[in-house]
Amino acid sequence: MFRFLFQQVLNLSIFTMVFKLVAPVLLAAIGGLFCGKVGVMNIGLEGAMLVSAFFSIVVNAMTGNWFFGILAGCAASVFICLMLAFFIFKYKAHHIVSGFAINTFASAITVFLLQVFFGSSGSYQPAGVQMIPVVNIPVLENIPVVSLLSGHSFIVWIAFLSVILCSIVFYKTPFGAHLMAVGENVQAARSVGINDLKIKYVAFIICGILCGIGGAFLSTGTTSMFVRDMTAGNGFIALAVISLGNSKPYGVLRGGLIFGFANAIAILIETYPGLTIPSQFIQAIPYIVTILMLSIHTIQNNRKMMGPVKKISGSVNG
Amino acid sequence: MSTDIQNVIEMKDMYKIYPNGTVANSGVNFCAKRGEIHALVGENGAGKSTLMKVLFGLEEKTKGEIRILGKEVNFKSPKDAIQNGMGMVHQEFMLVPSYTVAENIALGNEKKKKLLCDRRSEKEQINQISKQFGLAVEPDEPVYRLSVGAKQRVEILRVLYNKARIIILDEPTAVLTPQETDELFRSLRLMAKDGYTIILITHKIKEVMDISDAVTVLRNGKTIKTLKTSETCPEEITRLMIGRQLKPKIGRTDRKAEELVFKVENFNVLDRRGVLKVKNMSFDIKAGEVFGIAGVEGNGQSELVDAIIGFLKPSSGKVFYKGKDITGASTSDFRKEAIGYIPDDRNLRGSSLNQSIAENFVICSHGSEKFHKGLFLKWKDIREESKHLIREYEIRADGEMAPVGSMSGGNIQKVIVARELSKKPDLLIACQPTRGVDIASIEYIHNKIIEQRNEGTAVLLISAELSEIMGLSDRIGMLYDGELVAIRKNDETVTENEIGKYILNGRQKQKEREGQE
Amino acid sequence: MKQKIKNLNMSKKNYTNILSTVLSIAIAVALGCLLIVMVSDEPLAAIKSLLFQPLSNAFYINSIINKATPLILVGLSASVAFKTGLFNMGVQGQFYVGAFMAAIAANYIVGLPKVLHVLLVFIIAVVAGAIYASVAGALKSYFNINEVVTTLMLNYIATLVTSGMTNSYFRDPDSGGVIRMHYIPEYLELGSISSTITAHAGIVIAVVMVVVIHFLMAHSVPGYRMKTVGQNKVFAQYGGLNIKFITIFCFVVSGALAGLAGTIEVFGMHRSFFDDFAREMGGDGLIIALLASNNPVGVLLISFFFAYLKIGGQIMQQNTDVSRELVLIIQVIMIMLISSRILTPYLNKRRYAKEVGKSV
Repeated sequence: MFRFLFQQVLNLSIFTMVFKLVAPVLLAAIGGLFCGKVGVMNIGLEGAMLVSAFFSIVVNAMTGNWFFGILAGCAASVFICLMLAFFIFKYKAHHIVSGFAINTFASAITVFLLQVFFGSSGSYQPAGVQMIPVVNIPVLENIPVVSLLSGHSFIVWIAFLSVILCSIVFYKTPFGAHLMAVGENVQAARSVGINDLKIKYVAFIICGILCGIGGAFLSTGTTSMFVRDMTAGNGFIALAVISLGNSKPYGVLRGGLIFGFANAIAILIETYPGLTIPSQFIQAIPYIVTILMLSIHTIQNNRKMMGPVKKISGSVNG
Repeated sequence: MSTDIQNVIEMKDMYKIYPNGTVANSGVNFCAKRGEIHALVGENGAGKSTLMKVLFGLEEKTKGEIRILGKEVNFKSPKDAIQNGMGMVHQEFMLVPSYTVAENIALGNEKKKKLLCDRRSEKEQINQISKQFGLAVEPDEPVYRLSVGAKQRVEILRVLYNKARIIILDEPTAVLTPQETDELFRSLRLMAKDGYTIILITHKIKEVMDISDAVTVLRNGKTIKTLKTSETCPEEITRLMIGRQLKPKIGRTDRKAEELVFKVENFNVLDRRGVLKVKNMSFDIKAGEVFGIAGVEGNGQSELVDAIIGFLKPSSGKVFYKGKDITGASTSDFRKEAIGYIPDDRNLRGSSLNQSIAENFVICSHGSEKFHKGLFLKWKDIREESKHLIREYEIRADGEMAPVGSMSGGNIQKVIVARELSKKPDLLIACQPTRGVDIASIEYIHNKIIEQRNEGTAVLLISAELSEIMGLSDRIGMLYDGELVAIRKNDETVTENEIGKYILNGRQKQKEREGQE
Repeated sequence: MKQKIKNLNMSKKNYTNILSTVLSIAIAVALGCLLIVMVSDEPLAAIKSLLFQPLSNAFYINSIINKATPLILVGLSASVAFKTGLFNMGVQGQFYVGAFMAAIAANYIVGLPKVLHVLLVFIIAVVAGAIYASVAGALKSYFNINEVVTTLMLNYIATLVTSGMTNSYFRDPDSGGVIRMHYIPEYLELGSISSTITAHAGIVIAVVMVVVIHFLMAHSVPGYRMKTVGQNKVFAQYGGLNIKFITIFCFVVSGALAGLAGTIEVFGMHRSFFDDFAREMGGDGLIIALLASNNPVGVLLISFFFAYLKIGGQIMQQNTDVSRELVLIIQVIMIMLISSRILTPYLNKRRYAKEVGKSV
């Protein structure tokens, strides 16, 4: 079995799979990171992705255009995120509770609409869906190893790009400086005239857009169908990935890739011929890996805090 | 008060009543001129901070008229105030700990190069301002590593960077050493000479005399008088502030301290970020003795206490309680001893605001035979005892089941004191026991502490109020930068100046050491 | 113990809370009906099925009782954690673990006297739920790992692993197309309460647990400690409470209740463990705890109300063109209205204008 796995890794097909698995998680995680930086753990990522998955495939099937599908998905997802933000910031609802409620709402409303409009209670597989295109890079395709970069969905690229953009926004732009200041010390931000509420809403809108893209990828990028609760914990894993990445963009990328590999290997094992382990056990691997990684990571971090004595630079002019 | 254009700020007949009915300002008049250092003095709760918060747009006024440069204004948020050339240095620093000095100064007013921040030109400007007014900072240092004094410089620089011409400083010297205070005052004078208007909120009369050009005294939310500093004297200001004679010193009975209760030996403590905050500290306390630790806040007091009570682990050294080594004991073990502990943060650490007074009282004692039987709490007994304590400690509360958060600060503090003293402690650790408490409660709490001492309790008193330290202590330890630079008996010969000098000496000692290197 | 520990002030506050809860529920139900009118061709029939039919005959009423039984227990489970300031999002997983272990112990432990077997099965299932929950508790206590993330992950793990086990190793060969274990021995089944009330006896256990949890939280030493930790962790630590222990203890209690809910659901309703048979259970528990402000008696009432809505939803789905997901939407509207306390200020303004808490 290990030889089988090794071969898969060698012929690089595993990377295609990893990228495909990682893209929605990464998008949601970066979105969640924006919320996290303004001080809200956004449990509602899952629900935002789910409504996007639903609306993007519906609009996609209606218009026959993948781009309109994504736009519709993003709009729905932004709506969900703004609704959540509204309850959290305007009415001081608890973010975990309301995030959870939003997820339930997303799950219920999608199934409800599925029932109302398409008469189905489980899944929806319309004709005429235009899948999100795959980017083939002509020259690279034929070079070994480098060909790795070709043949991925457009969304995979957006996902990786979002990490880079996120890092630039956080650390290089005034908006990023304001955003993180709001999360770290909101009084300080207010005292210099930053409108913290505006920043928080913008963060949630960005989160909505990213989750929207991620959700659209699930229903119209990898498949062309909608299944109830098809996000299957991607949003929750995104939360774990944020913790794994120390709430830093590139850390999130690393955490996402770890999860992606775990998941890809699980899928490979699942397809291994003659395997006797129940497939559900293997599907559980990514979740177990996530908890383990989170534990190891946190323990390491705690150690670091107790590490060598840093000297205080008492007074700079002294 | 004429509407002279020289009056940069004019506030007329200001009222501020909070939604809960607290009247903070009721008829305050205040004027400040260009290039003037104007002190705003008054006791805790006189309404100084509220007035300035209203001026700066942090709170909305209930009634009144505010004019800046003769133009009537009504700031809705600090942003409006900043745009009108105002800046405020708050008592609690408004800084983002993980950001660098430069990032903090520029926050909210970043220089842009296309879409990105232009950190280089920000730094240039910061260095220029910092040189002009003698406010030394290192722009690339993260703020959490800075000393309190340096943080304050960052705050002032931010105000200057934002082009403020009117600067409000809220109790700026509360956290500074005398040396740092001098440096700050030098910078403030430079600013005033340059035409800045500076409003200094304080309750220290010495500072008013030292630096201000004019002084406005508030009492009970009203302006009592505005004076030229050169035409008044400390006694007059004190009289105006308090409205009655200062209270006499509290009486301590002479008592020969014999039995050693508490001892700290070669104590070293790192804070949570790994910075050494307590350095090789040693002291002991005998039964019936108050050992006071004097020092400016942020010099290792909280780390010392946290390490004693088990919130932090000391990196080396020993703690003995009645001869028993309790170094590194967990908080639960520590609290099982007959040790009372009054924490400095009464709202977070000292009490649970949403829970009732009774529930707050039994936090330490609910495990005792008296209050539980098997798995169950004897609520009836707990409530009886609570009623008793409320009466005994003259706590003004709406019954023993009222939530603690519904009471005033002084009464919350009394709840804490009552709880800790009802343990009949052999050792009492009291941290800033009267901070932010009304005068009547201060007196009451002081008397209780002395009463305990006279009954034979060993008391560790940690306070930034020199008058408190000098009024209560038998011996005084002078703390500077995590070190006890001197320990001295508290007798008639001790003066505030002397203690201040010891603290200053600590700083000079360090400078000498650095000079030798 | 009979003494009321609430003074006038608190009972006023409670009154406002209850009023705002009732109003929120009414608004949510009204909005739900509005939605029915919008989407349905036979709105009146649908509304009638949803709101009135559940009480129309004894069968439905007994179904409501059966439905409410596990809801009460998962609601208590979530409320115990909330009260301690913890988010046990893993009620679902603990429920499955409990139910699964109950079914295993029922089927595969043989040769014991019947009474002993019953006891043992309950103990095993409850302990399994508790242990499963304590994983998240221990990770939170010792490494400060966010319990929200871990419990969410643990839900997936529990669902998948029990599903895999049932599919591959413990499946009843006669189960046909359904994935389930063997039916449990008959003597383990929870029988009807009486000949008129045909609901199973699980409701008795659930009500007993409501009382137990009430006393635990309001009158016991551990309850006082948990509540204090939930209100102010720093204060609790300062007071010498062992936060690590209390955190784990809280998860143990919470998990045990969820495990018990699973056991009862297997013994009373399904008589076997079915693959992923109650996927809304955990979520319902959290919502119920929240709507009840973590008050055990409130949990009891809200659980019955939810059961009522759920049965109504089922009838509505059977008889009309509106799907039962509508009930979930109503629940979410309720939870949003209540958790954000949108109504409270209006109620407060009217009744206790003076009593807005003084700033400290």
